[in-house]
Amino acid sequence: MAQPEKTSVNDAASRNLDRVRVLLIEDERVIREIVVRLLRTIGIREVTEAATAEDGWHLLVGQDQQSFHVLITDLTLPGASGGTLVRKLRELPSPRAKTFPVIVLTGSNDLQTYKLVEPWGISSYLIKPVSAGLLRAAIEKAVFPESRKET
Amino acid sequence: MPLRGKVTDPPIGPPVEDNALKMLEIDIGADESRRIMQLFTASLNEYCDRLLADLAAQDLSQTKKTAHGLKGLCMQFGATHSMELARLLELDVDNVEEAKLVLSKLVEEVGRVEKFIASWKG
Repeated sequence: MAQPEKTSVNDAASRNLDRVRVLLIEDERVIREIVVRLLRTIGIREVTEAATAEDGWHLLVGQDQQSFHVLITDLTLPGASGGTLVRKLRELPSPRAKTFPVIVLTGSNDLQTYKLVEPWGISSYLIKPVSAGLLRAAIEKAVFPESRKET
Repeated sequence: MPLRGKVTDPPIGPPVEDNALKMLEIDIGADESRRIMQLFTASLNEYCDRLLADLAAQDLSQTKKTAHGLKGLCMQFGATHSMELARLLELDVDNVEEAKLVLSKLVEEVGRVEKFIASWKG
């Protein structure tokens, strides 16, 4: 699994989000477009989009691998689900895969669905509608967990 | 067999929560939010067409998958009654006839949403 380079976004001097690289997996194109716009609003410039878990997997750990700081994924996707992708990610041997930040963005607001993914180490579970403020809080929690604890 | 959920009449009041649209406008600006809202209404109609096709093919499983996507989209825009009808389609219908009944209500509601958004001034 690709590691973000040493110039980490965790640099205490700079907590802005303009160096955060996001992988967004969402099959609904209007929602995808909104999330990308909201991410830009909060300063995130590098967003890679995928519409299926399979495409997301290739970008995250597979043949088209790129380096990301956080994954935002829908749960219900065509083919494999977002939950399956997260489980597969956590089952990889790499230590980074076990702790890689994952934000779930879903229309499923039932406890049953939450309990299905919660054991896999989800940083935040966002139920639509999502706003810029919610995304910022979730990404800061995912990428700067120590600073969130301090505050 | 009756639906487990209930196909209710649309609530009195707007079919889209004003706050949801305002939040979008604040977050991404008036021009962009207007463009996204147009994408939303176009997408609603596409979903209705897909649901009609799913039901014409007697494919209840695909109908439920399509309805799930529609539900998430409606949640994002605060289209609460459309969302509730999509939720019924996704989770509560047991057969194609029930689904057709819900879809007919959904098509009506999508019309209300379109009118509301077309006249929304922000």
